[in-house]
Amino acid sequence: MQQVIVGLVVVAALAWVLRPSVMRIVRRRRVAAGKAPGPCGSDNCNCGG
Amino acid sequence: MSLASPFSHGGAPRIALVGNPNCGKTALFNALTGSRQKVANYAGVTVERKEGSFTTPGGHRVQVLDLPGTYSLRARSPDEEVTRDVVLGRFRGEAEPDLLVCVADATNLRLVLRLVLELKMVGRPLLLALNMFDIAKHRGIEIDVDRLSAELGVPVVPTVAVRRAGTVDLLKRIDAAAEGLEVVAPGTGNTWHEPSAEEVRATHREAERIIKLAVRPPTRPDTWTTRLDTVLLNPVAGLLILLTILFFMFQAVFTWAQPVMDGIKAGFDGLSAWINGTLPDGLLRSLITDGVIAGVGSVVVFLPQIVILFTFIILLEDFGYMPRAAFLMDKIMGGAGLHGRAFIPLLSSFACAIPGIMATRVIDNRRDRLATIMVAPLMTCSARIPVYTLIISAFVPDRTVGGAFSLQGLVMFGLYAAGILSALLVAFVMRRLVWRGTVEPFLMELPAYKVPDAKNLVMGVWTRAKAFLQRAGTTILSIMILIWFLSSFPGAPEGATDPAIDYSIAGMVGHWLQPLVAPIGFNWQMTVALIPGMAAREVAVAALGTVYAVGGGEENVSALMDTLGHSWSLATALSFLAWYVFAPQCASTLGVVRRETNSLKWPIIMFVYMTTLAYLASLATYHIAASLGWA
Ligand SMILES: Nc1nc2c(ncn2[C@@H]2O[C@H](COP(=O)(O)OP(=O)(O)OP(=O)(O)O)[C@@H](O)[C@H]2O)c(=O)[nH]1
Ligand SMILES: [Mg+2]
Repeated sequence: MQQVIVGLVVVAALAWVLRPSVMRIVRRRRVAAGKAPGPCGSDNCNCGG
Repeated sequence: MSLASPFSHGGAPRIALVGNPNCGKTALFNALTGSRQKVANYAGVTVERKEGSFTTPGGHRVQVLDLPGTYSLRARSPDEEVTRDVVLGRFRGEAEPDLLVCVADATNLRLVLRLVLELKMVGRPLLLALNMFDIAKHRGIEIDVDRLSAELGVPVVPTVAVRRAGTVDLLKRIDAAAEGLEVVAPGTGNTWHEPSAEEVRATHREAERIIKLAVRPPTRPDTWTTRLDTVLLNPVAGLLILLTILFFMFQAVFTWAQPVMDGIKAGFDGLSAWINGTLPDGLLRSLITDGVIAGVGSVVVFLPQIVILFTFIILLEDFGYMPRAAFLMDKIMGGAGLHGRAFIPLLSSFACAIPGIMATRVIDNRRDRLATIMVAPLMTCSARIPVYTLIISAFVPDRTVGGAFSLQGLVMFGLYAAGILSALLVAFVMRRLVWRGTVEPFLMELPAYKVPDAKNLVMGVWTRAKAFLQRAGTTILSIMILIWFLSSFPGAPEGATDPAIDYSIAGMVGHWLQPLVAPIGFNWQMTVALIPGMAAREVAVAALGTVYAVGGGEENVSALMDTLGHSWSLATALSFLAWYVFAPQCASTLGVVRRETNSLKWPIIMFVYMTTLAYLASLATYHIAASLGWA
């Protein structure tokens, strides 16, 4: 029982720490697929200027 | 789109706040939208476009943009370019704003009238908000609002952004405009272009003419500012006062915080004692006491110091002292090859290098700006406070010297001084090696002094404290759980004689990397702390808390100082401090440098030079201390 709780907590912590990187990768995928605008200044950027 | 009503297109109308620096645009933005963007009494606080929205009393949903201050649309520096681009509808493909609200400091209309005349050429619907009307009244400046409006051909409303009822008239205008009434100067075609020198002079003459007609000079001019400035800007007395303020600030950070810190520590110790009493010995208990409380708790105890530091910084900012300090330091900074405008970004870096680096946008020359960005992380940011305090409390005796000064506070001041001096030195060397050339002369507006606003202070400190606790409760918490896991598994094999943590993953990684840092006197626990410490400096303190708690079975937050006191030598402790003066232990800072310089080159250079400096400084410190017999 204790082990299960501890395991879950550790996995949740890991997920939290990795969240920004995962989001970034997902975003990059979407940009590459043309589904989202890229960061300013990049090739996929939608800037007017 | 009909020209008479600016708001006749479908979506929520967008209003842009434009004006000279420090005229109260952000204060107005906060008053309208209820946001808490930073307001302070110096030019160049806002360096980005900020967006907010609100519903007018008449029920219209409106979007507002807060912009960096500027004197003209002929933008010189990156922050002014943002304003120009938004106003002209060139910003990231955004359309032009539906209404330009030009915000003016009513006590200083000369410069803003030129901007109004320039904005008229942009041809967007326009309204002039005479802000700081309270101060103008108080000084007996008489402004004939109708005359001003008639001469400019732009409607004018007085506002007081920092008072509750100060925006009522402005809101009425916006509502009326949304209903299609002609209460703002209507849009015409855009005829704006970079003005020639002759055109600039003509605008200047026109502004002077209007001022003469509509504004009567103050009957009670602000004599306080002039009187204070004769002392505070005096090259000798002023510098002494500046030094005294800084010295007092760092002493206060150390001594005033102590009682509250002790209280928080006792709270955490009580909590872990209670958990030890309730939960059976086992994994879960170890996770909570060693991982969460020993780790996160050892960072949270530094909250009082963060609060005191920010109280000082916000008071000085609101009073209007910062540009004076910049003025005083201009000679010294110029000698090191730093632009006078670099002072405020560097001072902001005492809080955190990230806003400091953002604030360099007010520097127009690219080389001056890069030099400032490259040294900003050397200034002692608030995330270093936990690291410094922990080591100082463990190794520097709690004594007073010279009758009144705390020795620990003096050492803290010394560490801050080391950061400042190294920033000046690095800038000096960089200007010699890479960016030779003279530093451009520097003109900075000195605002009138203002009594700091209590609400602004409380809100500002609260926002910072909340951010600190939030980080402790999310990032640091989850990293500590992982560190706990890595230092607890795998457990020791049967019949092992060494401590169990030596067999864990963290123990193995630490032992394996330790030869790299052995020359600078670091042990394997420190190596383990340095790796997650890349996320943010204070994480290293939390990690030390967890690693020592798992290893030594001491779960108390207050035990960490004692543990370090007897398990590290003085030479090791000093070397660790030297490391933290220089090391680029903050991934977010490197990320911001990348964004602001738009290249990978500068963050890489920053990382390499700072790591090298840190290693050399620690090496020297460790060996000198060891030769003094402190190993
Ligand atoms: N008395 C008084 N003070 C004001 C008023 N509006 C703003 N202030 C103060 O003026 C100072 C500057 O306000 P900000 O809102 O930061 O000015 P800003 O135009 O956004 O400045 P930048 O972002 O640097 O361009 C702050 O100290 C405010 O508290 C006002 O109507 N009356
Ligand atoms: Mg502002």
